[in-house]
Amino acid sequence: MSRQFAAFIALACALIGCIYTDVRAPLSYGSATPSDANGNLGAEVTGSACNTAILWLVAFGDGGYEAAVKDARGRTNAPFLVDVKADTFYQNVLFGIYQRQCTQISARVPSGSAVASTPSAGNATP
Amino acid sequence: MLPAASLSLAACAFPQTPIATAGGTIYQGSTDAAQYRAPLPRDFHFASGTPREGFGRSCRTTVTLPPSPPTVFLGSNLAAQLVPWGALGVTAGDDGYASAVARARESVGGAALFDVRADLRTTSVLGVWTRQCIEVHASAR
Repeated sequence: MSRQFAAFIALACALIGCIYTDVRAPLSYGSATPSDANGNLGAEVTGSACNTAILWLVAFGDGGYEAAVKDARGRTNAPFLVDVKADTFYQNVLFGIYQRQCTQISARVPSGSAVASTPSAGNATP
Repeated sequence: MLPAASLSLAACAFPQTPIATAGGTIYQGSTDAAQYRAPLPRDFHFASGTPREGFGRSCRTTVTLPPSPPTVFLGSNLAAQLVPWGALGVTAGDDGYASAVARARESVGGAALFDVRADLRTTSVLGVWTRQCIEVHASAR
């Protein structure tokens, strides 16, 4: 009986496929507004963070707000981002054999904050 | 007379509730995130300098049998839809904003938080054990 139950569980796991999942999805972001920077908006920065799932077997990644904001702030000394636009990029291939979900942040830094010479601070490839 | 009695009995059996109960739920005792309007930098007159970073987390755990995979992406519920059985589940925990934010404040000595970023972290093994955590990152003066 116990062997049958174990076989049933093994079959169930194999059919379902999702062996391991560890992903972060964006939930909420109470971002600053231009008035927080006294209306002084500086350079535009971008950042992204992604989750990936393969063959419904494994899903992994850090596609949350924190990672995307960290990516955008990575090359600035800005204490916070202003005028934040957040989008979600989805890539699904063949019913989900390969799936990718990215949180993309586009924002301005408060004027006076130093930004690295590259035009975009985002370095993750969605 | 009989249809009227049937309807009234049915109403007793399935009372109206604003809380959605997933099929197969044996027990659920969880506090989940609903809404949080976080403070902004101007609320603390913070315009420059380097803020401290606070972090807090609150979690709930679900155990389901037979296995049921989490649906973490748009379109990722295909595998769950193909499962030919309904799973029985037990869920318990507190993954609400209140406890996550309280822990984030504790991490910075009780300082006020602003610029709050909240993510939902899902960890699952074999679709049987699933843990969902609200992870709060925030700046503090």
